[in-house]
Amino acid sequence: MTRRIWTPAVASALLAALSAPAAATVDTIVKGSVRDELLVPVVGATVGLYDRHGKLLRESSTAADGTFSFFGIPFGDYELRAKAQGRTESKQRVQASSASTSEVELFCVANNAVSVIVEQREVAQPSRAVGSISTLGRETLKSLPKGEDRPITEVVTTQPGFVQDAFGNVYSRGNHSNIQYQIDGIPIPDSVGNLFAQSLPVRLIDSLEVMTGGMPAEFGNRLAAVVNVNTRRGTNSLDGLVQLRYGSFQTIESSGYLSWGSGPFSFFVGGSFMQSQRVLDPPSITPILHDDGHNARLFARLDYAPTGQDRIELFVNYAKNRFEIPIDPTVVPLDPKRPDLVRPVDSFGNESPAYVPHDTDATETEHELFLTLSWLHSFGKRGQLQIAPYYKMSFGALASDPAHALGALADPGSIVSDVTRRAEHGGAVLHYAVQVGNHLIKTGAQLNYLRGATDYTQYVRDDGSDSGGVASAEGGTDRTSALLSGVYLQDRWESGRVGIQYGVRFDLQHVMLADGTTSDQWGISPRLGASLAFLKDLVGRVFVGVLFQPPPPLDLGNAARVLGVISPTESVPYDIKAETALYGELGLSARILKKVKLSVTGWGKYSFHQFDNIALGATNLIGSYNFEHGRSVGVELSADIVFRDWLSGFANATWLIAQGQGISSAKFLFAPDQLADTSWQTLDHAQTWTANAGLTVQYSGASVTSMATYGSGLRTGPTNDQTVPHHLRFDLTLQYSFEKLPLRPRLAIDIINLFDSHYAYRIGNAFVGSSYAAPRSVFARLAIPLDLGGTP
Amino acid sequence: MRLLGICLLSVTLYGIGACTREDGIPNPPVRALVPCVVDAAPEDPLACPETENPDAAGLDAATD
Repeated sequence: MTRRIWTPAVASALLAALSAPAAATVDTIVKGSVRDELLVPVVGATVGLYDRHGKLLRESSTAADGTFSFFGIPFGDYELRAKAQGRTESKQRVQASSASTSEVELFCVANNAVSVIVEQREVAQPSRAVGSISTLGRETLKSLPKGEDRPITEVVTTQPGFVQDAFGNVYSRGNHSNIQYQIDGIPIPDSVGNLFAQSLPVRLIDSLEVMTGGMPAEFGNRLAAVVNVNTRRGTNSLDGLVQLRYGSFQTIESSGYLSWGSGPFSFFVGGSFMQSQRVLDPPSITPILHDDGHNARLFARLDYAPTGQDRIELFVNYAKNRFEIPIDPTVVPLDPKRPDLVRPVDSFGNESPAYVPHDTDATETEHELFLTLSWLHSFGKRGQLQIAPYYKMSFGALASDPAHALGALADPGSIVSDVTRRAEHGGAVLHYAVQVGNHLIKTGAQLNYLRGATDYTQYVRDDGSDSGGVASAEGGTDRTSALLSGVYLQDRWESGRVGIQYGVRFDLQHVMLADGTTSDQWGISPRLGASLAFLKDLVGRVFVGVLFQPPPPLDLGNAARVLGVISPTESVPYDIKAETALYGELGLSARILKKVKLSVTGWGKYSFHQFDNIALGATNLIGSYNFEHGRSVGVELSADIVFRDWLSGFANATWLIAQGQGISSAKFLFAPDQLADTSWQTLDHAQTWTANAGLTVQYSGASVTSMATYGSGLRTGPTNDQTVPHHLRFDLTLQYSFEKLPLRPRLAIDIINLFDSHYAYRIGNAFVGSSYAAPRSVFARLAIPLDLGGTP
Repeated sequence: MRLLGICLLSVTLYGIGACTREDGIPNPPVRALVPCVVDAAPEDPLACPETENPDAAGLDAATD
């Protein structure tokens, strides 16, 4: 009697995969072996690589030792099927990570053998990659609260090492912004607004990798974290979905997508439109003053594969945001008849913000367009080439409504500005990867040209008039252009229990200002990491490297114009420097009884010219500056658990300290006492403790997901030496697919902040404005799938 | 199926019924004006504004 073990390791596609340490590239290798009931290699077996829709992507035959390999596979969820004459078919699911080679074992037993099929759900094996990486498959993304309407930034915050702030901003490992979003291998250039990341809808994503440390040399420019997005592509059948979401704050959103594929062509198009009476996180929980807004998203991906070796991808993403700038209802106007009365400080000693007349209609409008044409060519065993030119247009207009903002009740001496920012990026990336034995060698280059312009008009209040108004208006245009280039070379070598990754990159940024001055900054970033599998289910890793990040060329000038701290007739000094950081981390990951995976990571960083940002009042705009030095250290714990086939969960906790010393650039943004302070200051985006936990129950078309989020509080106080009160928030989502009803509707109810916790992300001080989280809010989603069939 | 329907309905009704309602009272509370502090340092938020007639400002003036 022969015992056959067939183990579809479903784990990887489920919530259990919410955390897996590793390092990363866009494409990866899936390899394995096919053996029979006596563990003898099966020669000449046909192994197919299928996507999660069951579409055959690649086919290969096993070699004399029963092994097979697929190279140049984008990370994501796959199924492997092995067939051999006279033997049963074997299947196994795998979640391929770009950070390490995925290995599978398939068993094709003789047809006449008696077999026992064992199907079990497990957590994924510890990754053998050298850095910190979390991989989220499509099913995981769909099961999170808010489902596919959840902004990508909120998905990211469920991972260890991230801190959530107002407006959907997220900070990774003590860094303020500087998160690199990469779509299908193409890094997205900086925006003039901060909402581009939120414009990437989850429904566009097939799989997602979040890297918070140990980035390979192919990643540069923005290194707080890398969010690597593998977008969806059309399948063989015509399918789609339309959805309506309605809920608190009169929020209504319609969305949908359609995809299809035939022969060498496939497409995936979609979009959404949302409007709400609470768009930004306002300076009060209630009432909410002047916070209406809407956004629209359109995206399309077209694929054309004329040959088995070539694939051309056209990707377009457009986003529009329009929102009102919220007004703080807790601030009262000064009384001109009682000059002895002033506004009080709050319980932290923070000075009150200025009064904004309640009829002020300040708004921000943003447009983002990103398009790229990517060509991938396989040279077979000689490697794979990707060439992708791209274009990105980013537009943001802050309209201050001076007629009302400087009205009768406005503070004497008030200044407001209209600032319109435009940035156009044109560039290209080139990647070449080749597998040589146990080495995966990758090299590439990037070139990006930026042309930016900022139009501004500064209005000064007429304090001589009882009704206020505009006393004077002056304006101008700042023009900045920049050329950013980078090259890299890296190798990932894996043999037996050991994996080593090493590489180096060189970056150069040349900034040209309108007055003819230039700024050149360059850096070399060597990186080295190693992993060791002490046991199959116990992997340790170490990484050290230099992280060079060129400064954002436009933020500083925009901030100066919005705040009006530089005379309209003067140029904004450009003295921001590139950040160079020495970075290291250690990690250990263990799988216990195939049901639990525990990971611990410790990391540290010392920076020269550390970046930080100042937030501009109640807007989502930032201005960049440097600390002379920076230091940060953190420890992250995470657990993935599969309790039963229908019950799984995850949990993580992060402790971190991040500090900066001595403000060294953009000094016009700061008061003399702030500049004089050369002590180590805790950064205002650092939160000492952050924790997330989630639990998902899935049963026969129904799912219930609950999530808990804890934060010990961001910084506040006149010198940023205190923290806002800690918070604990629970979210809950129930989803059900009514498969027996006409149109097979899917209904979901999202309850955000289930226990109505009232808490602040920010309590405004001299550095930022106040922002409060939403109270309990409820949303209902009704979706109709469009499964229209088509060519199988 | 029936149990799930009841759960969905219950949670929906609970969520809608328990939503935070605006009651017109700002949360956090309004920062009512307070008398300035005469001897506060100039950069202190509670420092009295500069006026042409110094006697018109300050705690004494406010309580006169």
